[in-house]
Amino acid sequence: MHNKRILKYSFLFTVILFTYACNEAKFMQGKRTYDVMCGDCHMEDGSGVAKVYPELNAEKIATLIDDLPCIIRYGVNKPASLIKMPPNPSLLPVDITNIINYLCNDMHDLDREFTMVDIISSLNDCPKDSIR
Amino acid sequence: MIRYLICAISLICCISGCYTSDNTPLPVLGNPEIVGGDTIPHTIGPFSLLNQDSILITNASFSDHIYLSDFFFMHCPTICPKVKKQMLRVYDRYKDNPEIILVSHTLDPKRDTPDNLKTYAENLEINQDKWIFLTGKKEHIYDIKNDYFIAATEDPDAPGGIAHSGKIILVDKKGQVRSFAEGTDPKEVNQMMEDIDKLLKEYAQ
Repeated sequence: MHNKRILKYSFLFTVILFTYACNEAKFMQGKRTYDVMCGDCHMEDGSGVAKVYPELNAEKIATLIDDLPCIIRYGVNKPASLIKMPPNPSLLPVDITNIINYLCNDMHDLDREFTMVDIISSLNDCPKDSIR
Repeated sequence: MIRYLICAISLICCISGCYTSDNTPLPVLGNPEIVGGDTIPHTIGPFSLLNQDSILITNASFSDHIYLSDFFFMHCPTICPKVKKQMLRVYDRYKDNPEIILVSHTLDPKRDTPDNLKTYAENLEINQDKWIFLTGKKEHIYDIKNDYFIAATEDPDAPGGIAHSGKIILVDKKGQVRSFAEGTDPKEVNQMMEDIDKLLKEYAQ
């Protein structure tokens, strides 16, 4: 009788544990880096603040996908824009890979996954003036 | 029997205690001054600043409004966007209420000129009569922030060059501070909105 109860509870506990495990972001490291490096302005849910800090919606990510490594690494420096996105020299290719995979697969459901080799080759082709 | 009675009485006290505390008005925050035997509550000192349209704004401009105040600067890369996000939440909730306005002061008047603040306000997509942006002489802004209990100091090591507090301050029509919230914390801002409702009720009576 007593054993049965223990069994019942441990089953319940396992189910709860699995539910939580499944809810975790697939690219957890990317989420952590995003929250610290990008979340202050773009917000942790990517909702941004009106036009001041742009929302990172699925459409925008999909459109900019090829430029993302350079944007994250070198920032956005349009002369007309009031608040410029700063460059992030401290982010290594591995960090940028994690962030982009997090944006594409956890924050949004774009189902695109990049390897570090992809990202490094994109970074090598960044425009030199870094004005986008 | 007596034991039950005591239990019942304390229960009633507890419940009624909760109710009365909900009806108490918001406190007037800050140290009052005692002048000639009279207690004078803390109020926001005299200020004259320019808004995003370069129009002079003084204490008298707010005498018919309760207002929410925060201090920020446009190049602030850390807490300011999150505080603005929360201010935007409050704005959305009260945008049709003529009694309340939002007031954001810049801590970086050199770069945040009225023109630049105007562009910032346009990018926030808000009604600029309802949410105004103030700039002015740096010494004056850094002086007036103390009346709002805001800590801010120029610090070359801080991101963006200024270390400052992200508190949002609620000020009543007499210029008295009635409530505050940590502007980066949505839960505290929820509480702040309850306080705003309470203050609005105070004026509705």
